[in-house]
Amino acid sequence: MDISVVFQIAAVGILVAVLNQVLKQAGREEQATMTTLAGILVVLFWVIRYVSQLFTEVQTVFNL
Amino acid sequence: MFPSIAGALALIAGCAALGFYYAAQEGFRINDLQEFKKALMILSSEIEHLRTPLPMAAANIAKRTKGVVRDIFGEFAQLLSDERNETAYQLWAQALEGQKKRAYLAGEDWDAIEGFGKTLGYLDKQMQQSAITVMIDYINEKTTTLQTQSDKNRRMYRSLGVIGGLLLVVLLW
Repeated sequence: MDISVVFQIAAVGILVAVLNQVLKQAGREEQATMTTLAGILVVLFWVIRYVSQLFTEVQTVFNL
Repeated sequence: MFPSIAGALALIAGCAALGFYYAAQEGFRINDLQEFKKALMILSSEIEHLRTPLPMAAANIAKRTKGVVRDIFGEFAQLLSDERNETAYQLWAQALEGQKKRAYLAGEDWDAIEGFGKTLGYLDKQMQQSAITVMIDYINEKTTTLQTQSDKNRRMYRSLGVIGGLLLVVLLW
């Protein structure tokens, strides 16, 4: 697994958290929620292949 | 490596500039409204004290104001002096139409300004003065609301620009 993905996810997490705070302080709770949701989706999109890889590994290890 | 860093910096700078532009837009709208208020006050004194005919009053306002308001009254004065077979309101609407894309005013401002044009040129002095007072009251109220909103929004747009740029760089890296 490429370690840079971890840093990318961390960066997205920090930036989305800051965006969330900025939008909440401006009284735009709805947009803040949407931004958080978009951040989660992007990160999920990045990690989905690793999750799939993990399940394949588990299947192989336990001979399922 | 260097081109990608340069690209990332350009992207951040571009997004930050966009954020700063949006942050400044409300300020531009307030400026336009204040300038229009100045024009109305000049028009009020032209009607009250000098009893200037409308084409001359509009030309005088165009000389003493700036930006888009100057252009609106300049065009209106020009259209009035062309002596077309149209009402003052129709000419006012034409003068506004030419400037709508250039100004930072919102739809509700244009509606109020266009509505104000209906009172131009045919009501008596007192009625015209009261129409001007109503318009000035609208501008005062709108400016106060915008000023309280704009501080919060300005900070938000600036932060959104910079953070949005950083987020895009991270997503595209």
